[in-house]
Amino acid sequence: MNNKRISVGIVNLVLIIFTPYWLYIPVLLLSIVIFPLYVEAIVFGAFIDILYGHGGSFFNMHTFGILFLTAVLIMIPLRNRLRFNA
Amino acid sequence: MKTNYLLKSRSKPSGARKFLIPVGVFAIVILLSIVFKGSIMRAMRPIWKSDDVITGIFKGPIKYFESKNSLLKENEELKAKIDDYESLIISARSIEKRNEELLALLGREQETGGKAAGIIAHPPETPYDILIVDAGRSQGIDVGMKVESAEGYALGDVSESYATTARVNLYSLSGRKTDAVLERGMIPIILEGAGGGNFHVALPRDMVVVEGDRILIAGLSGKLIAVVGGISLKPTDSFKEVIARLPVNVSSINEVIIR
Repeated sequence: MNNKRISVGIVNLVLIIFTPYWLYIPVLLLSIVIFPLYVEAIVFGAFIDILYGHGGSFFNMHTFGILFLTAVLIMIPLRNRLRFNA
Repeated sequence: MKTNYLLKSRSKPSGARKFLIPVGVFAIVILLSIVFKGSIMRAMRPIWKSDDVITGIFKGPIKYFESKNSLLKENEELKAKIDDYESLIISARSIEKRNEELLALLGREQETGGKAAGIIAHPPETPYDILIVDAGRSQGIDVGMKVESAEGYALGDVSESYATTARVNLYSLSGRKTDAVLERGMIPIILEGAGGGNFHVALPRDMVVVEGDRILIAGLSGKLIAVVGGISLKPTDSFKEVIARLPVNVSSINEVIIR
């Protein structure tokens, strides 16, 4: 695993704990676009749900885990079509 | 370059595996989160508390660079606020006394006690209208207990309680419905949370409601839960949309009372 990915993972973790949601969610989505198969985002999504989730249905309890899983799955076929990935 | 050995290529996940890996990770993480949720919340408490300490350390040096004029202006504004609060306290004391008399007539006692708890995470760190407080089961905080601001405004209730932290769902949580009373005319209404400290209420178009009207929580306590902020009415609608908001800014309060 390269150092950039680890560094970005640490930054994302710090952002989730200390900064507003309108910062860490776009940064996580950007990380999914930049890094191939960024499954760390799914872990971070579950972490956000543990810290800040409000319970209720399965979707309410795991909103961000599902969101980032969907984003990672969408990026798998799209990645090859992106110019910077050529 | 010619070589006499085969170059080893790193194997990448094939088509279907690429999709299975994220789904597998998701399933594992969900299972682990159910098991370790309490431990994670307990571990996060000192980290959230350190956020307040770090912010406090930087506030001092930043203040050193503020100009004399800005400090004088801030001083005047604070003095004016103190005068306003003193007059509010006088009127609040007379209302409290009247409340005690009314409760005594009904044979009920005034609510006393309550546990103070510091807020360690609040919007916008939390993406929903949720507070994390630094008191939990070990401090006697249980699920269902009501949460108020220091001024006595109704904010929400405890939805989850861990060893040393608790999660508070605010009444303004998106989709949450709360029974309330519009003080003007003591009309029962249902407040629907819209997130961001805001509520929606649908009222008949003929009902009189004005910006600044107070909305109280249903029940004998009658604590303030929201203030009418805006009214929207189209000529063809039979209902008007009223936007109300919490009486305090939850992003700026530091502690709550839990009963």
